[in-house]
Amino acid sequence: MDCRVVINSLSDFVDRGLPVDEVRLVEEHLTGCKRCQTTRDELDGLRRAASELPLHTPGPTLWLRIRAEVEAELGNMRAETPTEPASWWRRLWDRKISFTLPQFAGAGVLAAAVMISGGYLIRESIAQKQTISPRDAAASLLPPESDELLKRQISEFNSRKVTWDPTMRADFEHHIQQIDQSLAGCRGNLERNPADPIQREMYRVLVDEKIRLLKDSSRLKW
Amino acid sequence: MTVQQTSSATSDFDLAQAAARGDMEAFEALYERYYRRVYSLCLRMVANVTEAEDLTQEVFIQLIRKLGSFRGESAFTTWLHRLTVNHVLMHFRKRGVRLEKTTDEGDVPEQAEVGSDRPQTMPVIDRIALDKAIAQLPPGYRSVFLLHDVEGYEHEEVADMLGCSVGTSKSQLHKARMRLRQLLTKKT
Repeated sequence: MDCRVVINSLSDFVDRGLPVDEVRLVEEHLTGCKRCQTTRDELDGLRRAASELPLHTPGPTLWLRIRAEVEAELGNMRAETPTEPASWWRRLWDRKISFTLPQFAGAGVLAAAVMISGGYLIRESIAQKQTISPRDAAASLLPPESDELLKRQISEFNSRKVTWDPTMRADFEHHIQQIDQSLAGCRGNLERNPADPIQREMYRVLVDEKIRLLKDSSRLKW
Repeated sequence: MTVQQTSSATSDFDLAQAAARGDMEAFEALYERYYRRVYSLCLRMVANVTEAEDLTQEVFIQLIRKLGSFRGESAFTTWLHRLTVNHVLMHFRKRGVRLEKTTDEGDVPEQAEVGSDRPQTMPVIDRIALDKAIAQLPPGYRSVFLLHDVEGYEHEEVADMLGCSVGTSKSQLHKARMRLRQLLTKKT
């Protein structure tokens, strides 16, 4: 074997990566070639020395820099983690509400189930002919502080709304209007049937939703 | 978890889990265990102290972001090591550092040096001199040499990391060793 060919195979040779027949040829050449033997020994020495290189140490401030950055990052992550689920208004504002086809189908089934069971309960309550006056029912629906809060929020909003972006204002008013229409419907139903538990529950939910919408909107930067 | 509690007894996996939940003591314990390895690899790859410190910092920031995805299927050291190598290689790519070109057969265009050309032999290898010589290698040779000979990766792994063939990895390693041999001989 020629020295040049052997030299090119020596790295693989010291790494034990040559096929057996090539190993034999290289070994034969090395037996009679002092210079190639030296090169082999040097490459092997390099390989060994490289695997035993000591570790270096960075400057003492590196950890301080890393810690500061990590803590800032962890702080941001904690701040971004919502403590309570975002309201539908917030999700709507952030455009995070989306539905897939199966979700729509599921929602349809759920709505049908609610309507059927609601109708059944209404009929049951009529049959029971409970006698609760509309005034008692309205009084028991909301605690006085909710009513106060609602009035205060609405008053603040009416004075601030004029500065809003027109599209946002239209969206907001549309949602408020929808809630108000539902509330009016509930009130009418309750006047006809004050003991209806579903209408009472719906009324409370709608009022809570209206308060939450007003609160959320007040926190947003317009 | 305090640093003393985490100093030696706790496994890397447990520390990683705790750090992923935001436990700074656990993260510091992981740093204490591995910062020198990460820094040494970065320093040898880029051959620049400031750059190596910046890269080490970036690796540990990456680490805290990715710890949540560490499932313990491989050793933590292997995972961290791979994270470091990938980060440094990404740094090279961003900087536009080109690895040496090779032919399809894996040969670099430059002719191989043959030992018989030089009468001197390489002295007993001084580790500091070897580190300095490694720093003088072109980035492509340096990467292959460090990954294979210093860090102990197989050629298949090196080829995978660098996006080259196994033949290229072998060829560049040989060239790197021959160049180092030459550089170390010149010192005498």
